[in-house]
Amino acid sequence: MFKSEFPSAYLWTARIVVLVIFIVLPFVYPQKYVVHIVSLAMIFAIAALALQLLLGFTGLLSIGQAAFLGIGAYTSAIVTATYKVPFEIAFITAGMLAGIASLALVPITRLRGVYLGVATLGFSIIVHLVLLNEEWLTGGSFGLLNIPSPSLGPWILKGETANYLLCLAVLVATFTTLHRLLPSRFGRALQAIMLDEDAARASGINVTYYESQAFVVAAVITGFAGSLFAHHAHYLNPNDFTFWKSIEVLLMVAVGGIGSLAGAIVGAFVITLLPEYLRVLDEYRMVIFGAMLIAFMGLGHRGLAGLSAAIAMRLLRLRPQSDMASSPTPQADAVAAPRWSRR
Amino acid sequence: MTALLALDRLTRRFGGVTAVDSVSMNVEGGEIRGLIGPNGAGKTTTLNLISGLTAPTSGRMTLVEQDVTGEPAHRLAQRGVRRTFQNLKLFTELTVLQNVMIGLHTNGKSGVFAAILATGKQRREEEMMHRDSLTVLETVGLVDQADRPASALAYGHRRLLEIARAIVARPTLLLLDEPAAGLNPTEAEALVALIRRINAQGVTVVLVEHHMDVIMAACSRITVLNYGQKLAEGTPAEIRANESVIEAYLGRAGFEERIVAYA
Repeated sequence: MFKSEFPSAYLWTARIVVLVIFIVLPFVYPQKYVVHIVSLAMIFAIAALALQLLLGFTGLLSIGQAAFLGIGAYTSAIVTATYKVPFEIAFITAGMLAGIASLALVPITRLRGVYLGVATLGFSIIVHLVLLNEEWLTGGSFGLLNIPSPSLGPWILKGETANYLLCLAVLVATFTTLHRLLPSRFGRALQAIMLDEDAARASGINVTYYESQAFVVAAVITGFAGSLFAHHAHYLNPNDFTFWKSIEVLLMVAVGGIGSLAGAIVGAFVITLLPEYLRVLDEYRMVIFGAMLIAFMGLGHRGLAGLSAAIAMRLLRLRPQSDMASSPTPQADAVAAPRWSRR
Repeated sequence: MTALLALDRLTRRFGGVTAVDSVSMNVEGGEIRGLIGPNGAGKTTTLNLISGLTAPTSGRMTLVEQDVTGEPAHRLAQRGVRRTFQNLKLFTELTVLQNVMIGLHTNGKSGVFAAILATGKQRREEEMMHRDSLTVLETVGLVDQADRPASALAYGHRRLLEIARAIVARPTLLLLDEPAAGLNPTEAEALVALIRRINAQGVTVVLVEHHMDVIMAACSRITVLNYGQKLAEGTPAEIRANESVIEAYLGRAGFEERIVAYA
């Protein structure tokens, strides 16, 4: 959970080093394609962080996040391309509309585990069909063309590097926001619901209300990611937002490690970049990709984040003070399993 | 005399089983009420009804002269009804301190935006929750474990942590579901002292317990349930002398209890 196993000095050093690397990357490694694809990975990292809030910190399984990505992307594209609204306003509108759309899911937050997952998957399929068939609004299967570059006030962020830095800024803002949210009254309520719903209710937490809020917050963030996606690609097609995209976002969280913000980002990079780097393998690409997914899942629900934490601990010769490792009672592990894996 | 908690013919059926059958009971403000009975007598279901985790099939429940029948658990918790659980329901992956701070949820107001913006009000609220939680951890003797994960606590300490989480918001009514289960005699004695201390601060307590010495030492009045119905009610001395209670415990029901205990 958010109580980290590391001394925070190490963590902050690591975060700052990673941030500096990402800031200088497009300048030392200015191939357009690389900058483009890393920007895309950062956009998906934002979406993965949003799902991490639901899955890793509230225990809600959503396989419908592509719906909010699509709503955000199309909203931003339509209002900028058709109505010439400035990007900043389009970006905010995209998040808002995605958030409002998520209110449609409030009645189904009562569902649990796989049942909730399937219901959100249904939502994702419906949104895809709307994007595909409402041609007057979305351009249907021809897609939306000529989406302008993002702009900030008088500056138009033309070119891959400017766009890259915008995506990086939004990613950092999202990470910081969630990092603040988790140890707050709101964040504690979500984690209480995930870890023991009855105890949460008996402590005065309105479960439906907080679950709905988690869905809305996640949808708003995903809508922002959708807006970035639209202006990054300059072209939208409904097939960018099929249920397969929802599953990809879920893969990012699962591979990176459920319950870890950094893990969601790592997972988004792996799932976005790995298939690109596996291109040399040609037709074996997806086979290798699938095999690697299976291997990653062997790491357990703590994923790559859990693995790298364990390696770093060993390198730094720190003794684990993790709950699992030092628990005097063997039953602790079973109790700690999140809700969606139990039902 | 008006009761703090009044159950009026409260009933709960699960399918064909009537777990709580038309139980009426008045708990006065300031008392420690024992709730005893053989296994399956409906004690835990009664606590679930009072805390709102289970809705009654029929009957009425009044809290401080207000009809609260069928109110959900989080609303009753806001009204000051707090509880512990027989099978320990801690937030195991969170720290001891965070567990207690969740108990203070109802004392706060700040939501998503306050947390993101870290407003002055939100930070003061966090500090208040932090301070109050540490005070309560001191009361139960867990303050030196505040930053450990709840799952790392010894069994007896977990029981104390549940109590800390339940009392941190200064409840009006505290429901304890077998708090002495699994404790050794020394720990059980300390528990009785703790319950008395909590009660002395104006908290009314309903105590479900199998350890008769704990019940007899802590309670001012005792209600006995059997097969979901109220069998008897009175002071510890009256209950000890009650024929039907003795029969329920040592007769057929007592035999069944032992069977269940060994199963």
